[in-house]
Amino acid sequence: MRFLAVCSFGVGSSLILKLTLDKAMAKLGAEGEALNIDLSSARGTPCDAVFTSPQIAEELGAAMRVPVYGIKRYMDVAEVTAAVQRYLDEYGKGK
Amino acid sequence: MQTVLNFLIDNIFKNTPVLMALIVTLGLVLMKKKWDEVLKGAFLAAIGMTIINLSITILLEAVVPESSLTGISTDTSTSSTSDVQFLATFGGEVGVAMFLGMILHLLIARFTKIKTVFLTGHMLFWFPFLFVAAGVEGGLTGVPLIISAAVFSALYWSIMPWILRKYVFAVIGDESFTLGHPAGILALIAGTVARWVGDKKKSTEDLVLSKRLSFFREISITGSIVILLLYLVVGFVYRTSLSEMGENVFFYALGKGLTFGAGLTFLLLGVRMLIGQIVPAFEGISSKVVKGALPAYDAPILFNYRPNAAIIGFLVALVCSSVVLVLCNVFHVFGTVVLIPLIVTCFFECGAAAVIAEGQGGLRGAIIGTAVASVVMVGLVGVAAMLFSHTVQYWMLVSGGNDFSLFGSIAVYINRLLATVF
Repeated sequence: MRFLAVCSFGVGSSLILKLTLDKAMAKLGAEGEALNIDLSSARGTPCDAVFTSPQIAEELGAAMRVPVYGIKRYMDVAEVTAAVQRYLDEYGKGK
Repeated sequence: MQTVLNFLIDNIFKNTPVLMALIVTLGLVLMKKKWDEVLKGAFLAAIGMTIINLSITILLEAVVPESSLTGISTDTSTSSTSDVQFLATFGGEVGVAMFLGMILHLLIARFTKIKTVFLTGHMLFWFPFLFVAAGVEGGLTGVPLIISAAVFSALYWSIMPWILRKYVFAVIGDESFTLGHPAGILALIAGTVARWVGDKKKSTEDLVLSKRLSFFREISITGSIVILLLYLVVGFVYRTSLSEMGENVFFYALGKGLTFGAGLTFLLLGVRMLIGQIVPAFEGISSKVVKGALPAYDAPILFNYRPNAAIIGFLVALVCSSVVLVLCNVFHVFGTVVLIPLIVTCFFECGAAAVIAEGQGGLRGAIIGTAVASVVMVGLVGVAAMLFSHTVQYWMLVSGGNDFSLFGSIAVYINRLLATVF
C-alpha cells in the first residue's frame, strides 16, 4: 500500500501527518509506505489513498481516483488510525 | 596536514550534497537505524540537496533579468555575493549551522524550562540559511559565522514557539502543540490587537465562504503569479528596454512567472527529500532525550482548526499590505528597494496570525488584528531587504515580512558588534 500525506508545501504539516501515518500503519500491521507531498504534485502521483486536511480533501477528492480522507489533527494517532482502518475496511481486501 | 584539511574543505564542507548525506547518516546511526535505511536516507538527502542547488539556478533564471532591469541586487563588487551565489558559496556553513543549531535546540529543551521541539521541517533549513546570511551581512566569517547562525537558530526555534503557546492553546482547545513557523511576530501582534478590540461572540467559522480562492494554496501557482505581477510592473516601468529586446511585456512576464513556479516546485521537492530524512531522525532523538516536550508544528496544521479565519486573514492582509506597499514604493520609503506583493507571506503567515487573532477576539479581532499585522509586515520586509542587500535580498523580498525579517535584521546588528571582536 502506498499512502500520500498532502499539504500545500509538502514539507511541513504533511511530514507530521506522514509520521503519524507510519505509526498508524505499524499499529494496524498494514504493510506499505507513507509519503509526504505537495498539493500540486499529489495529483500526478500514483497511490492507494490520500490523507490531508478536510479543506484540501474536499478539493482533491474530485481530482483523485483513489479515496481521500480528511484529517483534522495531524499528530493524533487515534484519528489517523481510524481513517486508515476505514480505508482497510472499504478497499483493503485483496491487496 | 594542510593538504588533508584543504581536501576536506573542498570535497566535503563545500560539497553540500555530501555534507548533508554525512549529517543524515550521523543522525540515523545515532537513532540505531539499520544499514539499509541509513544508506537510503543518506542518498535521498544528497539527491535532495543537489536538487535544491539546481532549482536555485532555475529560480534565478526567472528573477535575474528583473534585477538587471531595475538595478536592485546587482551589487557586482567582488566583496559581496548576491542571491545568485549565496547558497552555492555558503551552503556548507548553512548545513553545519543547521546541525549544531538542532543540537543546541535540543539541549535547551533538555535543560531549561523552555521545552519546545521545533518540527517544521523546512524551517529547520531556512533559519540557519537566514542567520548565515545575517552573519555574512554583519561581517562574520568561518567558525564565528557558523556559531552565530547556530545559536540564533536554536534560540529562535526554542523561544518563539514557547511565547506563542498560550495563543495556540486558546485556538486548539487543548495543550497538545504550539506553532513553529515564522508567523510568530505577526501572530503576536494580531492576537494582542484582537484581544483589545475583538468580540468573541461572532466567530469567523459562522460564515460560509466561497471555496474558489483555495488555489492560492498551490504554492507553484502563487509563486508564478507573484513573479508575473512583478514583471508586469517592472516591464511597464522599463518597457523601453524590453521592447529593445523585442519582447512583449505580458508574455515575457508570463514566461518568467511560469519558470519561477517550476523552479519553486523543484526547490520544494529537493527540500522535501532532504528534510524528510532529517525530521524523523530529529523527532526520534528528541522523544528520547526530552521528556514532556511541546512539539512546534507548521502553520497549516493550525489552519485546520479555523479554516475560514485563515482565508479571511489572507484576503485582509493582501488588500492592506498591497495598499501600504504601493505607497512605500511610490514614496521610496525604503530607498532603492522595490517591494513586491507578499502573497506567500499573506497566505501562510497572515493566515496563521488570523487564526490566532480569531482565538482571542472572534471575527472582528481576526480582521482588525490581521490588518494591523499586515502593515507591520510591509515595514519589516522593507527594512530587512535593505539590510540583506549583499546576500539574500531577493529571497527576503519574496518570503519576508515575518520573523525572518525581524530576527534576521536584529541578528545583522548583533553580528556587526560581534564582528568587531572576532
